[in-house]
Amino acid sequence: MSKSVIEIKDLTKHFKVPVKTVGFGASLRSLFVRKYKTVKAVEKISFSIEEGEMVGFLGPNGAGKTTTLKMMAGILYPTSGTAQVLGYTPSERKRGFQQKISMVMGQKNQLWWDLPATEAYELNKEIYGIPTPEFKETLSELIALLSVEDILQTPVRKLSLGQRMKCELIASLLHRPKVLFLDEPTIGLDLMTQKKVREFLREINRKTKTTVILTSHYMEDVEAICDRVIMIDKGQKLYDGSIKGLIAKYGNEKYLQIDFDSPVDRQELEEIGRVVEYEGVRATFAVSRKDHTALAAKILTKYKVDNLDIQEVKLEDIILKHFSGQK
Amino acid sequence: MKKYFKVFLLSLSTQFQYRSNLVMWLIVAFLEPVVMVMVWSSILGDRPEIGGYGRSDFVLYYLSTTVAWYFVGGVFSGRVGQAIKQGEINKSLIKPYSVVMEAMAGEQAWKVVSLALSLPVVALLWHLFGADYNLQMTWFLALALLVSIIFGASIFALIEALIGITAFWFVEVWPIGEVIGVLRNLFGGILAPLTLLPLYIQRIAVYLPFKYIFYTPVNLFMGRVENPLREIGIQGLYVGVLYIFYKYLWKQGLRRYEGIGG
Repeated sequence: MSKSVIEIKDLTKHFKVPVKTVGFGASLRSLFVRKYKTVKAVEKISFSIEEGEMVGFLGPNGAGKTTTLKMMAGILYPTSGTAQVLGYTPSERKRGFQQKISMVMGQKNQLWWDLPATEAYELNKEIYGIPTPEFKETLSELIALLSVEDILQTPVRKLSLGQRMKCELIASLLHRPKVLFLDEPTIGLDLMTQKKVREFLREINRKTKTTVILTSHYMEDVEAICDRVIMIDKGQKLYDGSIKGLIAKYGNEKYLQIDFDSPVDRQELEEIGRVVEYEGVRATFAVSRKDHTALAAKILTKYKVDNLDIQEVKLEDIILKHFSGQK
Repeated sequence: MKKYFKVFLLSLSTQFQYRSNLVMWLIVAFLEPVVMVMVWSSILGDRPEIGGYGRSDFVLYYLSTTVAWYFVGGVFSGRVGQAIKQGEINKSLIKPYSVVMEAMAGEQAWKVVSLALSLPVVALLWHLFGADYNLQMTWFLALALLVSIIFGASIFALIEALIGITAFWFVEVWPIGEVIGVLRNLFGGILAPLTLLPLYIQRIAVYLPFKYIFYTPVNLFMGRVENPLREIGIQGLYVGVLYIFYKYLWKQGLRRYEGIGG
């Protein structure tokens, strides 16, 4: 039986932000009287995560994903509710807790800009008090997994974004954390590097049972890395479960992609069903799950068809549809 | 502490990446004491002394203030403020590691480089203008000086840390830093020896921590302190009070912290 490493109950974070004023007069007045409004970044979120799970946080910008992650990592104090990570209260920032977690922030750099990445690794060795043999072993293992042997002696400022992210990942895993928080780990990376990072994270999880929690804008990240997703919007949890379950719950349609022998008029096709893509000889229909076989049969009898492909709705489409308010 | 020594070494390596900066530090090291000595020399004119300070006293005073600055002072409040403002402290909040200590150790790196560069300049100036000065150094005084420098550096660092963490409340910390900087120069005896300033400034200075940063160690070195133990005791008291205040503010600040940025 697996044990839960993260227990979040009614976690809430409200920020008090000054109301921005427009114009010189208003700016002058705001010097003396400032108005504030409360932003509910996270509102009573609860969930638990078990050891070795890989969980993705999905949601649009400002949904509260990163704020939740920061409360779990001990960067932010919750306004109310409780968070327990590995038996610790993160906001107390106990040394024992910090020794067991790590966080990679896609837009923040923990390496030293002017110096090679290895220097930052040596510093982390001191920070976490990693014994030399263990440090050497972990480092060479991580270097091999990410194939970064050639760039370790190059000053960080001369590395590409992808190379830098790989070096960041190594820095964050040197002390063998039990829980790894990743905030947009593949942001701005090229496709090859994204793939490499995803493979790497799966490998680390498989080998060391590290619990991984990530936020990402890239659905591919979540689909490739996570077994479970937590969907958040406006600070509240909308869905918590498997990706398959999410597709079953929200993806009530299937796609029929048809290659015709010769071009067919779009108008004619629109009369049969909802066309989402059209290229003359190829068209894609969106059709409800229960009707898709009937529609396929109808098309096959009416037209000469070269190929017919039935596809599941992509996670990305569901998210897009969901967050643009057309459930 | 090993980790902060590593930060110090890393920052030192960074210093050597920018060689042109080294030349600038050399010029700064040279200019400051020379200008001050020239000003006081012209004020002295034909007089042998002003308020107990003759020409060689002034030379020694400003040279030792310059050297003390490299030992004691490291202006790092801006770094801390920036780190809080831009969310850079996030990375240290998740580690057993202090962003304030990092800033301090990092700042000390260029101080050491500057010290190394300024020592020949100081020696030259001393040889040219102050060599007739009769320094009395005993083991007791040397030990008192060492403790006083450590305490002075701690007071300086704690004030810098306090200025830095006001970034939890204010958007910019540099205006506060500037104000404190002016007060430090005036009441801390960097501008001129305190005994040469108007009596009311000397009276105010007694109630502020600034004179215990540079002025106390420099005067100890010059043999101008009547009761070294008393002065060191006050320094120690300031270190304690400022430390407690700093810990309190840090805790309050983190409660307000919004963890800006990714």
